[in-house]
Amino acid sequence: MSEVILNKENMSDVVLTEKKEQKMNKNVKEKPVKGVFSKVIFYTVFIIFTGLTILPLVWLGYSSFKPKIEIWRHGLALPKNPTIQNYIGAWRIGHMGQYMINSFIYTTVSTGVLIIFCMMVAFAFTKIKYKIITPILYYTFLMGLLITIQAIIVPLFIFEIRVGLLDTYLGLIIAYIAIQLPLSIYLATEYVKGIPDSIIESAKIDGASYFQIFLKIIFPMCKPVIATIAIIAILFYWNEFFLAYILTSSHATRPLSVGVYMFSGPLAIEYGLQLAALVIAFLPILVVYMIFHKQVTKGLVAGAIK
Amino acid sequence: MKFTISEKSEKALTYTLFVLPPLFLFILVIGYPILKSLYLSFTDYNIVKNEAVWGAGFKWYVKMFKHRDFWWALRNTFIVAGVSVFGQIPIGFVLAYALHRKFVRFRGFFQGMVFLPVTISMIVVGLLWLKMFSPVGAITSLLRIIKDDPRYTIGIFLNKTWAMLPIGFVLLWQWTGFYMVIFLANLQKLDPSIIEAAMIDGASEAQIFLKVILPLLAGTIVISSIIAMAGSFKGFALIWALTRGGPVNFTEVITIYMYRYAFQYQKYDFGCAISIVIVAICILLVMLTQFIKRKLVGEEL
Repeated sequence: MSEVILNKENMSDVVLTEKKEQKMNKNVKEKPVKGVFSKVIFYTVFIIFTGLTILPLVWLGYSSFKPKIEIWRHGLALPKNPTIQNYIGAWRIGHMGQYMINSFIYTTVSTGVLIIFCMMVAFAFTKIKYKIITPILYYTFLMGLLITIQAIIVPLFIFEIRVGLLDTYLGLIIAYIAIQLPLSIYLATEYVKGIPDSIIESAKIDGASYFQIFLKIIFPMCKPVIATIAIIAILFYWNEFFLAYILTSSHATRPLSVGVYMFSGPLAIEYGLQLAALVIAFLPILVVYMIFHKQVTKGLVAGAIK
Repeated sequence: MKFTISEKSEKALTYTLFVLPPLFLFILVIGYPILKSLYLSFTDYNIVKNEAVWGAGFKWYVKMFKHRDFWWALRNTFIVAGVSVFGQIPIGFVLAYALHRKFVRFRGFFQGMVFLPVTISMIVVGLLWLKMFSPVGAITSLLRIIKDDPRYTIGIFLNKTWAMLPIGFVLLWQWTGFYMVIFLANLQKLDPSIIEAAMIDGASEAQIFLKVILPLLAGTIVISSIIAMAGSFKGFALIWALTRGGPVNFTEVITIYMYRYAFQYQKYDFGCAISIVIVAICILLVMLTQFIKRKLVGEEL
């Protein structure tokens, strides 16, 4: 639990901001010249890292346009006769379209319900609170932060077979919502705590019900924390593999992560199609990262640290 | 006529309505299964009849601790943790320091690039490098040119001792940026006048780094290391995509070991015992974090 506490304070300044740098410049008035030697070393290091990041992705990108015969002839060469057949094949044979829709459903539905749930709990715990029951329930939820997915998967699997939830959208969605509840409830509760009680009291005097207060006052005031929770959840759901791998088993229900694994895993050999499938799986996240660069960085650090 | 209820019952009703559905879901998916896992680890599970028979005692735990595969999986898990603690964290730290002290320009670009792999799902990273190492992959092709041997294939995965090496490289590739961002955030929280004062006193760059910055961030480094270790006990997808723990069990980590028994051999009882050990280790690491945090008051991650 401690990490989360640490992490909350961190959240606002995880990302390198230009403003901060400028402020620092003014304060310190340091000269940026640090000696040619260290500069050369660090430029080299950063260029190597950038190259290491980009080159595999570039290779993946251009190789996915190579016809089968060229892939086998030379692994490094650029495509001589570029073709989009690989993409058509991956989309048709590999069911990438279906998987993408599934991933989209899992991510949006789970994130939506998760946010409503954790805000409801946070509101009840901080603004309607009952002295004895609230701490008990709060710490029960927080205990969930210590649980690893492996420790719940076997009973969950047996349960889902028994009630017929295995290999259904609902079966994976309930698992997704529950697994993100502890962290989300923690973040939401800490945030709602900071909203003054006087706002709620005066609204009560004006005759508003708790439900109205929740909907009209609390929800709009919590936009920043909702955004944080949503980013953490979206990235987690879109990339999640283990739960989906065990709880789904057909084309109709598999998300992209499992689908691309099934199609491009260690047992497959159709290289061209697989490379195209990997590009399809990777591209949405790349686009999101390029647009919401700062938020994604923040969310990933916050989400992984729990 | 307007339907009204008393203030008190409205309060109770709203509380119940707001807390009950999430609580129900939480108990269904997490609360009950974790206790059931603990229970199953002390039973003999009959997969045909689908029933658990109590009375196995610590049989599965004893079997696990006597099992060579378990210790091999633990060894590999510690290698993964070691790559984080002795690879990602120091490199991430140095990169963050270089960015913070403006040794290079284009900082936003470099930061974005080093962090980019963190955003890719572990499954896609694993598969990407699987293709890179494959006979048609870029690395194999490159080595073929260097070695001037057009039939060369990468054989390191077949060596039990060194099979984890390429996996360590991929882990380094993906996660260094993650720690870089964490350290950068903490460096930015330091009071800039500390460095300024050291410079006025005539400290060299190396001295500032070793004598000023490093001690100030010691707590962050320790806590990041523990988090990395806990993370290595949870990681599954990347290695699963790269090698499925194979060949044989050469690259098997503890979660893959658990998966193999629980879902490939359908030994639910034994699988649950393994998962309980994983949770126990993770809880121990979290407690260790708490303890160290209390020792280093004022430090934040």
